[in-house]
Formats: sequence, structure tokens, C-alpha cells
Amino acid sequence: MSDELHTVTRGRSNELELALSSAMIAAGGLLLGVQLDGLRRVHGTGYAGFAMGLFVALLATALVSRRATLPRDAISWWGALVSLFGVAVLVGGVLVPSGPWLFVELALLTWFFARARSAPGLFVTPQAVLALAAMLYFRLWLTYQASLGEFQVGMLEVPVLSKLPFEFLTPFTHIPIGSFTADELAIPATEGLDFAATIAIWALGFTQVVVGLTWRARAAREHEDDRIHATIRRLPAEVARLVEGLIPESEWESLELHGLAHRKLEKRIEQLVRERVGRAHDVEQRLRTLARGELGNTPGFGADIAGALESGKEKT
Amino acid sequence: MVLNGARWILRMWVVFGACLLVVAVLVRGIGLRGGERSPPELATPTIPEPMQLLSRSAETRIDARWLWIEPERRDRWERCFRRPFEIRDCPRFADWLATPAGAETALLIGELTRGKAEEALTSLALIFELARRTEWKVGVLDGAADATELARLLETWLSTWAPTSARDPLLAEPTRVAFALWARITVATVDAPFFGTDEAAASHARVFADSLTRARAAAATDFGRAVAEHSPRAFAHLLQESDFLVGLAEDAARLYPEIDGGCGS
Repeated sequence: MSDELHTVTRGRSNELELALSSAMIAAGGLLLGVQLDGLRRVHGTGYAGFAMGLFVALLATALVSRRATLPRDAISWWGALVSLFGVAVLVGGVLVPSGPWLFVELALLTWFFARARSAPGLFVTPQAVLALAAMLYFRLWLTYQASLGEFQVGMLEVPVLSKLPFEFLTPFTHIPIGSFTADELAIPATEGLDFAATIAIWALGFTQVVVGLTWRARAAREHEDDRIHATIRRLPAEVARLVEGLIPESEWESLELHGLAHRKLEKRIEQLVRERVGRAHDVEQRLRTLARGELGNTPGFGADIAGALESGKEKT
Repeated sequence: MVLNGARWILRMWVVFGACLLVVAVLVRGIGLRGGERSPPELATPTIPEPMQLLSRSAETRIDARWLWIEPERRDRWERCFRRPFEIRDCPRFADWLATPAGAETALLIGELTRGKAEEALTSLALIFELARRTEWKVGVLDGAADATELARLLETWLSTWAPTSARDPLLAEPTRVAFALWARITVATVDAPFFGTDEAAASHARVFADSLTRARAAAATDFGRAVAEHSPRAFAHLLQESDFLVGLAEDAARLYPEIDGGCGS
């Protein structure tokens, strides 16, 4: 009874982690959706970036759909939905306003998020976090430039010409690189942007969403482990222990047990038990018939293997 | 019981997360152009259809008995009001201003500018007519003196009335188009040099535009906000370091193509 209570309690704690991490993602998404103007009033960042982020998230979901799995209960569905939202706001918060760079960033981020594992929902890999952070830095640079009234990425000084002391050459001495407008960044036209407060909010929101997505993915994996554990524990206690010995929990994800429908999960476990029992039986038979002389006498690695086989042979 | 309590906590967090998610989507729409506060309802202007006074048909409305002129200015008004409308042969603006008739008309414009709102609109009508009928286009040999003088006339008017125009039902729109015309004339002076630009004129224009609108400051003036609401593209240009009057100049060219510095040539 106490084992069952422990199992149920652990399951509830994973569900609670899913709910908490989802709330964290939503809160981070809220912070990434606002900016403060010069009068410290709240303005939205617009829907364009969010829509493009949602496009990336949906495209990534479609690309992983063949190897990913569906959520199997309500809390998993909720977590998967929030992960979609989290990716959308994360991508939307780092994209440049427009131009060919925008499409390069979209393609790159779609590729990163399409490399999800089998657990339902999207998550961020460390490489994706690095790419997102780099894009966020670039976006912050653009916002900083806009707060100074400089609506270009940078100004290139033309060599030689810029050093000549002739006023009429002024239009030719600097080349603006990557121009944009306040509208594209959704910067309030009349009040401008409070850069310091806004980047603080965005940095906090970005961190919350990244941490939330990572936490949600981990909680989702553990929730799936609990589901598989509950399936195995429906067997008699000794049989369940034997099955968990044959199929250790550490292998459940790599064996693609996560996200399987209930009937398929039972069939897959049965198949694995059959394979592994058969393999164990074959190994035991071979050990019994193995002569001592066949173990060999080579020093080092050979001796270690021979010693291990010898001890196994004695146990049979 | 413990497990039931845990289930309620779980549900509470899911509901809280759902509410946060909805709010996170909705907040992105705060302050978007479509959702911004609508301009204040303006009362009916005292002079009906004030924009007509800035158009080519102003001559048909303004006459000696124009009832908005104060009695102390009535004499000068009756002597001078017709002069801008009678200009022929497209004289250079500075040359015309230097004539006795031009000088007295400029005096009248100054007095009206310092008067009440209806008189200010009347003076603006006269300024627009002068811009329409005189030459101020910058030429290689002629320099920018004409455009500079005309721009100064508009600057005096704008300095007086722009700060309060946003809430004035009579002057709200005329002030914005006057600002656009000023920009068009100023662009001519800034681009006067054969190579490059007149940095002094550009600098003066920058300071004047910023003083009227505070476009690049933390908070724009009422007039700046009015420009942003009615001409967002022009306002966005004001935020730029260079070519900041291009948007306004293009608005003026679109609204008054005949005021081109060449008498509509």
C-alpha cells in the first residue's frame, strides 16, 4: 500500500511539475510580449513576431511528427500546447524586424526545434539556446540603436573619403548597413522606448521560457516514465520486478516506449521481455557449455573478460 | 485526502497557467495603431471648412469684410489682404517681400499671427497664397534666400500656434499641413548646395522640428502626437538622423502640388 501511495505521490509531483513549468513558460511569454515606452507605460510587441514564431513551432512539430508521439493524458496535452506557445514567443522575441536575415533566422530555428526527441511537445536543445541567445543579442542591439534614433544596424565608414575635410563629401563618407523603421520593431512612435527597463523584462522573460521549456520536457519524460511504471506495476509484484530488471527505466526513452498508446505499450513490453529472456537463456546455455580452456589466457582486457565469464559460469 | 488536495492544487496551477497564456497573447496588442486612443472629439470650428482657406479657392472666400479681423487691424487688412492674390508673373519671394506692398503685407501677416485663432488661420492663408504665387525654388545662381525667408515666415507662425493646435478644432489640421509645407520649403534650402547639403540649414531645421514635436525625446508634444497619428510615415522619418523631413515634404507635395516653388510650373 505504501509503495502504491509512493508511486501515486510521485506521479502527482510530476504532474504538478508539468503544471508549474507550463505556468512558468506562460509567464515568460507574457514578459516577452511587452515593452515599456519613454513614459514607462506598457506597450505590446505586436503579433507579427508571435505569428512567425508560431509558424516555426508548428512547422517543427510537423517535421518531428513521424518520430514524436502524441500526449496520452490531459496534463501532457496541456504541457505540449504550452511548449508550442513557449517556442512561438521565444522565436518571436528574438527575430529581426525584416529582410533576408529574418528568413535565415526562421530556417535556422525551425531546424533546431525539429530535432526533438520522442517525448511529446517541443523543447530546446543547448545548441538552440545558444542560437536563440545570439539572435536575442542582435535584436537587443537593434532596439538599442532605435532608442538612440539610429535606424540601422551600423554605419560603415568609407576609407579615405571619410578622412577628407570637404563638406560636400558628407553624403558619401558613411554607408548605413541594414536599415529598418520603428514600425517594424513595434516601437511606440510618440513616446519612444525605455531601453533599460525593456531589455530587463525581455531578458527575464527569455530566461523563464527557456528554463520552463527545459523543465517541462524533463517533467514530461518523467511523467511518461511514471505511466510505463504504472503499466508494469499492474503485473504481480515479483513479475513486475523481473520485467523492470529486464527493461531498466534508463532505457525506456531510447526504446521509444514514451508516448505509446496503452495497448501498444503493453505489446512492446511483451515483445522486449520475450527478446531479452530469450537472449538471457541463450547466454546462460552458452556459458554452461563453455570450457575453461576456451576462456583464453591473454593478459589485460582478455583476462578481465575471461574473469567476468568465469564468475557468470559459476553462478549458473 | 492528501491526494485530493494535491489534485486541486494541480488544477489551480493549470487554470492559472491558462489565464497567463491568454493574457500573454492579449498583451501583445496593447498600443498597436488600431487600438490606440482615438483623437479627442473636436468641437465645430468657428470658421467652417478651414482647409478651404489654404487651397486655391481661398480667394473666393476672403474679402474686405472678412468678419474675423479685429477692428484695430481692419484698415491694414483692407489695404493688404488682396495683394497675395494679385501677384502675377511669379516674382522671387524675397524680391516681392522687399517691395513696399510686400513689406506691409508681411506686417499684416505678423499682426494676424499674434492675434486670435481665426486671425492666425487667415494669416496662414495669406502665407500659403504667397508660397503658391511666388518663386522660391532654389537655383544654381539664385541660392536659397527666397526659400529661407518663406520658411522663416512659417516658422514664426508654427512657433506661435503649433503647441496648442492639437486641441484647437480650427487650427489642428491647418497646422499639420503648414508643418508639411515648411518641411518642403526647408528641404529646398537644405539641398541647395551643388554637392552635399547645407549643414547649417539642416541643423536649424533639426532643432526646430524637434522643438515642435519632440519626436526623438522620451515623450512627444501634443503636436508631435497629432503628426504621428495623422502621418505616421512622416513621423517615422522625423526620427531618422538624415532626410528627416522627406516624409513631411512628400505629404506637402501630394496635398499641394501647385506649391512647388515655381508657381505651379
